[in-house]
Amino acid sequence: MLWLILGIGIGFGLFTIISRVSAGKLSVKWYQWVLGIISIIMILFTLQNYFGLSAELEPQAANFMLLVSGLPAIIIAALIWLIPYIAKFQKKESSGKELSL
Amino acid sequence: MPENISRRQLLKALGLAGAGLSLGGAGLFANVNPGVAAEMDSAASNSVAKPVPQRYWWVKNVDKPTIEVEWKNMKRFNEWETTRGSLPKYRGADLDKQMNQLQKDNTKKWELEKKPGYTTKDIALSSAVGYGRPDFKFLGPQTASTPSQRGVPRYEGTPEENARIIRVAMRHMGAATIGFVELNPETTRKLIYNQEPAPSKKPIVFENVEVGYEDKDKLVIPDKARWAITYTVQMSTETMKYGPTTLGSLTTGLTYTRLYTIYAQLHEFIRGLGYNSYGATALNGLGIAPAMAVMGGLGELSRLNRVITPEYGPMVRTAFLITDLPLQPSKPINFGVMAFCKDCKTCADMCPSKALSLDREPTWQTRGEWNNPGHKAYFEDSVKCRNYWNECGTNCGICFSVCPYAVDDEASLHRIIKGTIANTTAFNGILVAADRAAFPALPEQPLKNPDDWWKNENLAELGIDTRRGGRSI
Repeated sequence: MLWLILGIGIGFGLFTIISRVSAGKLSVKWYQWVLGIISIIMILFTLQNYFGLSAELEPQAANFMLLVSGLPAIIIAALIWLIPYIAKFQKKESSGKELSL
Repeated sequence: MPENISRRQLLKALGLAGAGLSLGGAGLFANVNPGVAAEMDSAASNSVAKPVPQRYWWVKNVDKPTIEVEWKNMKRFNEWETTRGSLPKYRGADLDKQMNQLQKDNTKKWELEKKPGYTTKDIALSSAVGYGRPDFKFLGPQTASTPSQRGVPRYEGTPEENARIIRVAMRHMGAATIGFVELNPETTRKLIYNQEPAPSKKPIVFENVEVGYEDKDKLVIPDKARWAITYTVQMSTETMKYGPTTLGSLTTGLTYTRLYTIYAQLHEFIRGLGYNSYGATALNGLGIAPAMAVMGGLGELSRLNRVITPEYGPMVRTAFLITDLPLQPSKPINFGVMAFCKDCKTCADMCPSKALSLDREPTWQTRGEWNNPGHKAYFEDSVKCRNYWNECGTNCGICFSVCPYAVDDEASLHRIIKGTIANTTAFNGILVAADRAAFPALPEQPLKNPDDWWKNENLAELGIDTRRGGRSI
């Protein structure tokens, strides 16, 4: 059931992003797509293994999974917003002009 | 949702929703054994059913096992030459007496102290699960009716069909994996013991007769009984983690009970088909069961000198019997175990008595008369191992429980790692380090608190997942 809900959620999320991009309300760079796909895959991988290891009665290994796979996934997801923010901040400093995202 | 959605946008939305549902569906089916998928495909296409369970893609059939064997130098061994049969001889009668007394004293002391893993309920259950083993008989129980007694011809099938029906029947009896070995006098027949276990030590001989027999002098297997049926039965990975204690050892006892119940049932099944079977007259008494399992493609030999299977790791017990029912032999397999064992050494590092080899490479050199020469292996000092059993009061099992292959199958990571190990050694070091970090072990300590085992009323029946090898019920 968890996977069905996750699948529907991801499908709905992708649809929302794509329709907003098509409508010109959102701009997503190529690297943001790449980072997004990688982070989704890693988050799903982390969740499957966390719950799997918990089902195997190995809570320590399950938590280890959160650390070695979940944390990098969150960091990669955060880069989706962090990279353009840093780029914008640097451009603002150098040219004094504000860029819209 | 935007208004006036175009047809293109609608189709994109449907496509993405479908992808999402597929992802959810894939997640729902994440644990389906590929054998089930093959079964479903075969049902759809009406093709001939394949034997179940299916092997994983990273398990390769090979012509020779992954250990080197010099068959011409190998002689038929004897069960009583192992430390099970000759421990007083190998460690001296006085030490043997002392160690046995130490075991009795320790277990009594710990039971009185209510030491976790040695309490009264642990000891009671350990005794209980050993009950129910059938008597060992060379020709089997011989109670099932034969086709001739029923007035019908015996069952006839091709070797492939026979192998399939044996597999299906044995899965129903409770066997985990089943393989078949053709017995060749120059090679695999040397894995049959030369004599049955003590005290009788009757010779086990092969003769050109129609039906085998047992008399006061010998056990006779006909030359025409050319096939060995080798099989495994799962142990509880979870319960073994509570060793080295009486509690941790009870999965061994329970598994042996199941192993030999299946043994007797297999004898009877073959008899009911109209064929003959010849088996052990005592526990582990017919031949070198792990070797037969390796030759039959059930797993690879390993640093801990027992068979490691792709499905269950070392968490199995194995046995074999011999029959004249023609069977399609199954090839040995390679999924990277012996190569991984060179780098891993976790079992040897954690062995309390340092009985297991820490050498990187296997060797031809045995470590004592309890080892059978003629193959290249990580020979163990079995006397040190048995000495520790006396100290801890029971069979230890730490080498089994700390093995990186001793995992269940819920997390997808296990199969990804096994698949990686099977194809490259490049990541062995990091995978061993990750395994030790994720599943930390302290020397001579159970991986888990034995008191907690008794709190889990939700542990699966027999402590195992019987759907790991196949999911059709």
